[in-house]
Formats: sequence, C-alpha cells, structure tokens
Amino acid sequence: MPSLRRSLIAYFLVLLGLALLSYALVIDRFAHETLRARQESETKRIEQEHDRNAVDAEEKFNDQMTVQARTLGSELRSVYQAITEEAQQRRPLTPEQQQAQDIQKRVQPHFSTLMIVLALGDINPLGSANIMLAVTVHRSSREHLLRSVWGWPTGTPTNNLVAERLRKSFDLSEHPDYFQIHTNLTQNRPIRSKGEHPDLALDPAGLLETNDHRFDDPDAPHLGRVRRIVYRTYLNTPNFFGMGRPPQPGRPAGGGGVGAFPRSNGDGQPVYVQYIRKLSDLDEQKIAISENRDLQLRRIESETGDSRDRLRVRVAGIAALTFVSLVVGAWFIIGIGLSPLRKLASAVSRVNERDLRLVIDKSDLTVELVPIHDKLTRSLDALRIAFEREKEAVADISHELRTPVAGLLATLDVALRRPRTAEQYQTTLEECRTISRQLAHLVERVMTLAYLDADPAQVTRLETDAAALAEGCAAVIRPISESHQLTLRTDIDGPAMLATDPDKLREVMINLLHNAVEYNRPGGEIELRVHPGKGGGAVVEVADTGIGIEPEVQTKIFERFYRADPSRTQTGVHAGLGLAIVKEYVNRLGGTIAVESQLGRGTTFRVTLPA
Amino acid sequence: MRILLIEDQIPLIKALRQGLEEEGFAVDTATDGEEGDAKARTTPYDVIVLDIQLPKVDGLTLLKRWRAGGINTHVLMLTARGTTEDKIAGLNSGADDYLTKPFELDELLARLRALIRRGHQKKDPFIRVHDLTIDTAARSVSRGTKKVSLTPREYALLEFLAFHAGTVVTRTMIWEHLYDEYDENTSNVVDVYIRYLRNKIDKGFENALIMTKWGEGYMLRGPDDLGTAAEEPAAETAKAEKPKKK
Repeated sequence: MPSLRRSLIAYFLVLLGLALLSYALVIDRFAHETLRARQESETKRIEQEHDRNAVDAEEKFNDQMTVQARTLGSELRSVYQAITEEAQQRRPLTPEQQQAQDIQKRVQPHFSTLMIVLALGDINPLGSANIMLAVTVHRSSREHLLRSVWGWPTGTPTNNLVAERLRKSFDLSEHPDYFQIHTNLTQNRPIRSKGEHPDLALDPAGLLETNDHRFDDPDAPHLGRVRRIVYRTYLNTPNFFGMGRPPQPGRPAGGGGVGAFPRSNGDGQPVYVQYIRKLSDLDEQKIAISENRDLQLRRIESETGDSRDRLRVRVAGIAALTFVSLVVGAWFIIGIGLSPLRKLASAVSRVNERDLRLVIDKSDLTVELVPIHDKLTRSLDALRIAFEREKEAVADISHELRTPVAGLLATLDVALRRPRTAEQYQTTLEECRTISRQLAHLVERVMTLAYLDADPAQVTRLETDAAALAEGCAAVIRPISESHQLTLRTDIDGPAMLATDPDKLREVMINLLHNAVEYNRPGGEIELRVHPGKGGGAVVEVADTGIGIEPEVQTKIFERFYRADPSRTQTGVHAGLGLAIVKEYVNRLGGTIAVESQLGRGTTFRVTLPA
Repeated sequence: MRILLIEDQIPLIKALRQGLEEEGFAVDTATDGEEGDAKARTTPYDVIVLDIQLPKVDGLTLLKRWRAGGINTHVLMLTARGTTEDKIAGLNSGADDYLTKPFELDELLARLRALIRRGHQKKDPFIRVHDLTIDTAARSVSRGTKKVSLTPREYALLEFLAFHAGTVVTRTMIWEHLYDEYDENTSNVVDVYIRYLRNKIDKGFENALIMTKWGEGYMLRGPDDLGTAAEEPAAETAKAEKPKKK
C-alpha cells in the first residue's frame, strides 16, 4: 500500500530532479559558452603573438644577415685599404704618384689613420694601369697581409694581385656561411667563402639607389632553401680618380653600422656582397615559435577543459547537496503536514464497536480534514444510534418473547407440581393455548418486520380500488368491534383507484382498525373513511374515540416496541409493533401516514396514498 | 410467609399465585407500579417479587423510592431483560436478588426461601429447637427421630414460629404473614392452625414446644427455657382453644 508521505516525496524528488537537471544544464551551457569565448580570444591572442614572433624572428634573421654582409663589406674595405696603403709606402713614387700623393695630402688632410684609398686602373679616368694609392699607415691586425703585400715583385700591385690578396684575406675560416663578394677587381672570380659552393650570379638590378641591400630567396639547387642578401658598398677612391658615380649628397652617412666613413668626396668603387644563409635556421626558430604556440594552445585548451570539469563537479556537488537537504527537509515538512491526518487516522483506529465516538481535538485538524471529521462523526453517531436501537430492539424482542414464555413455563410448572383434576388440567391447557397464541402472534409481527428489513423492495403493484378494499376490512373488523361494545361506522367514497399492493394496503387498514378497537373506550366509536385523493390515489382515515395520544409521544408511536400506554400491555397482544409495521407498509407503497389526536377525545390516523 | 407479587402479565400472575400458595406462601398481587407501591407501604411483606417493566411506574423507580423511604423489605427483581447491565441496575437500585424470565418455579421458590432466611439472619436452612428440626429448604419437619408431616399452611405457621423462637408472636403478626389480602379477616384461623400444629408437633412428646402467652400470642420455646415450660402444655392447649370458642 503506498504511503502518502513516500509518494509525495517521490513526486517531489522527480520535480526536484528535473529542476536541478535543467538548472545544471543551463549553467553548464552558459559556462561552456563563456569558456569557449575566452578560449577563442586567448587562442587568437596566441596566434597573433605567434605571427608577431615569426615576423620578429625573420627580421632578426635578416638583421643578422645584414650585419654579416656589412661586416664583410667593411672587412673588405679595411683589407683593401691596408693593401693599397702598404703598396703606397713600399713603392718609390712616380712623378704622377708623387703628384697624386700631393693632391691626396692636399685634398684629404683629414683622413684617419685607417683609411686606404685605392684607385683602380680600369675604371680610373686617368687610364693606364696606374693605381694610385694614398695610404696612411696604421698598425693593424692585418700584419701578415701587409707583409705579403710587401713582397710584391713589381712593386706595382695589379688588379689580380689585389684581388688575390683580398681573396686570401677571406680564406680564413671565420665565415662559416656562404658569401660571395663582387668587386670590379674580382670581376671574373668573385671572392667566395670556403667550401664547394656554386657561383651566384650577381644581379644588382634590384638594388635601388636609396637602398644598399635587398633580400631574396634564390633558387639554388645545391644549397637547398637559402636566403640571400645582396649588399652594396663602396671602396673609397680619391675624388680625383673620377671614378664611377657622381656624388650622392642625399644618401645617409654610415649606411647602417659598417662604420663611420666620411664620404664627403663621393662613393667610389661599388662592392656587392652576397651573403647566403640557410633558411633552416630560421625555420628552426619558427618551428620553436610554433611549438611554443601549440604548447600554449594546448595549455589553454586543457585549462578550459579543467575549468569546465571543475565547474561541472561544483554544480553537481551543489545539486547533490541541495537534493539531499531538500529531501530531508521535505521529509520532515511532509511529516508535519501529515500530522493532522495521522491524528485523525489514530482517532479513527481507536473507534471500535464498543466505543463509537471519534475522540479528536478539532483544533488539531486542518480545513481539508474537517469535512471528513464531520462526516465521520455524523456517520458514527448515526451508527451508534442504529446500534443502540438495534440493541434496544433485540432487548425488546427478547423481553416480549420471554414474558409470555415465563407465563407459559410458570403455568406448566405449577400444574405439574401435583396431581390435578381433569378440569384443572383443562384450564391449564387453555391458558397455555392462549399464551401460545400470543407468542405466535408476536413472532409473526417480529418476522414481518424482519422480512421488511431484509427485503426492502418487494411491492407488487396492482390496479386496486381502495374503497372496495376498505369495505372488506370493515366487514372483518365489525364482529371484533362489536365484541368490544364498539360501533364501527364507514364513510367510503368509491371507487378510489390506485396502483398499489392490495395485500399491504389491507394489512395497513386492518392494523389501524385493530388499533382503534384496542385503544378505544367501552361504548366508543370507530370510523373508517376512504376518499379518492385530489391528484388521484386515495386517502384512508381511521378515527377512534379512545384515550388519545400526547403530542410529545405522537412522533414515537411509529417506532418499534413503543407503546403509548404501557398499561395496555397486560393483555400481551401488543408488543408495540403494529404501527411500526403500518408505517413500513405505507412507506413501501409510497404514501405518508399522519396522526391527529386529542387527549381523552380520540385519535385519527390518516394514510395518503399516491395514484 | 407473605409475598407481594408485582407483575403485569396476567397468566404469569395466575400461575405464580397458585404455585406459591400451594407451597404455603400467602400471596398478594399488584398489576402496576402504583398499586404495588401502595401495597408495599401498608403491609409488612416478607418478600416482594418485583417486575421491572411495569405500567405507570417501573420497577426500578419503585425500588429506589422504597429504599429512599426506609422500606427495607427484601425484593426479588423479576424481569425479561436479562443483560448484565440490567442486572447491575437492579442490584444497584437495592434489589436483594434477581431472576430472569423465563424461570423455573423451583428456583423462584428456593430464592424466596433464601431471602426469608436472610430476613431472619439465618443462613443455615435447618432450624433446630430442642429436638425439633425444620429443614426450610426441603420443607420437612422432624421431632426426635419421628418425621412429622405438615400441610403447607401448618408448615408455614411452624416456620414462622421457629424464626421467632423464644419470642412471642401475636396473632396479628401470624395473620399478617401467613394470610393474603383475600383471606377472611379473622385471626380465629390462627388458633385453629396452632391446635393442628400442636397435635402434630407436641402430642406424644414429653416437652411441649408451642406455648400460649395469655393476652399476647404464641411462642415456640427458645433453646434455653425448656424446664419452666414443662407443665404448661396441657393448660395452654385448653387456653388456646378458648379464642376459638369465642
């Protein structure tokens, strides 16, 4: 059997579970979106940083290459300067040389000690193979170079010699990377780094006047993926050589870190430095950067996942805690709410066949239970009254039966105590017969009522003339009434047709007439009146001139075993059942019975029957 | 012994009256509460047999009224209501015994005799006066070893005297307790029955037990006054006959 508390709890649990689940889902969805947005922005930031880092790395790579190229250029220049200076000092000066020196001394008084000015014959406007050098000697680290220059056989360095010297000076294994330097001096054989490297064609076309370097990624099958920087610089020549290019006053001095090189006198010989570096270096850096990015992305992703998991655990924990606490709370609350019901149930369970009262304080009940309580109380009261009436009826029946039996038994006992005469026995037997008849009569009435109670619906309706029936009844009663010195008069207005049970109607009339005979005074009258009813049916009246019935008793006379005058019971015939049976019959027939009475004057019973 | 029977059932009254009278009781009857009340107040009955359901005034009300008014006559309730509650109600109202209808006549008689004994503070059904023994239960009498056969009325008289053994009972007392309301109003009958009784009890015995007190009544000798009464019986017999002759 389901418990109210448990089923309420179960419903509540289902509801609570659904609510918590939907809340959890909403929170999870919301948190998920927030976390994803954060992850996305973080990812974007990391990507941007990665891109910036990649560009930075490339710029740095390029910068390094530029520095390298410039270093090479400056190195070349310094070597070249050292060579030309040495050659200048070691050779006896021709008059032209002297002149040039003079000019040099005159026009370039401010040359620093490191400067070498070399004029190359091929592009010298002065022609011939003359190279004029103006050298300011300065001790440098290139002592060995100077010594070899010192050993020039002709004392006049040729282009090839100079080129050789330059090349030698770069034969040192200081430059792991590949480079190639083009000068006018080394037109056919550019200066190159060590190792087996393919010759790189010089393409100075891309170099703008304003830009001394450019980068490209040449397609060089031997080198793999490489980057090249083409850097242009100038070997300084005295102005009077009239070399190559016109002065370019707009160019910025210095050219980016090679060294402060005053060039107030113009550019001089161009030198193209090609420096090549493998892109794999850059790639490595880029890979590192990408890896870093991936690492960060993974970190962000895992952090997001962790956050989501943590949130879910928390939400689940809160939900579980809420669930448990609400269940416990609901258990108690429902218990408190059900307490009036429990009290009522306990009060009801205390009701038994001995005590039919519902003992409960009404203030303990709730509004909803009051109707139940009231109905129960009413039903129990009705039941109690019914029980009491039943008990009363049983007591009455037993009393009514015992009394004649006691008389019978006493009569027989007395008769049998000693020998009697025949007359005495006859008297005794007659008395016994009288008592037995009373008993039989009583039993008959009790059984009639019992049958009526047991089978409440048995009515056979026939089209009956109540007037004719009344005549028959009057004929039956008349001898009895005459034996009681009573006058029976009839006022019958027929026919009074109605559909009813003639046997029961006859019973009603006979009973009422018997009653009238029994409760009349000697010399009294009885009147039986029958008239058709106003709307069909019939009205039967039985009037007597008896002792009458007190008003407060009039409602009770139809109760079973009630006797208006107990003193009349000494005849033993009347057990107070006659009127009860009459009323029962009249009810069956759908009619009503009323009584009018005046004390001392008489009583009239009126039965109204429907058509 | 005189009994008032208050009962509304005519056949029962008839039967009981006959039965009780044949057993030597004097029986008065009343058929409703008021009549019963009036009779109970005017006559000192030994026992009243009272039905509960009565016309006019019911038995319980009647009983309560008597007990409140100082009438302490023994009452045997007689009713058709046999439930425990009814019995308790009857006993609480002051009834001395209770009998449910229908009943055996013998049981009623036995209970009535028990109530009468109780009225004389005797529990033992045997009453012994010298060598006279009266069995009130079996209603048999013997003197010495000789069994005495008595008519119911003689027995009733002897029993009445025996209950008052050693004290004088007046003719009126005897009459009141042994004769009912319909008996002829003469105490002469008492003297006649005393004589019958003497013939059966004292005749042929050395000591006469029934004595006549002049101007007072009769007395059954008490257990302690045998010596002085030894010479009296003959004289008393003569004297006792005198009222009869009057």
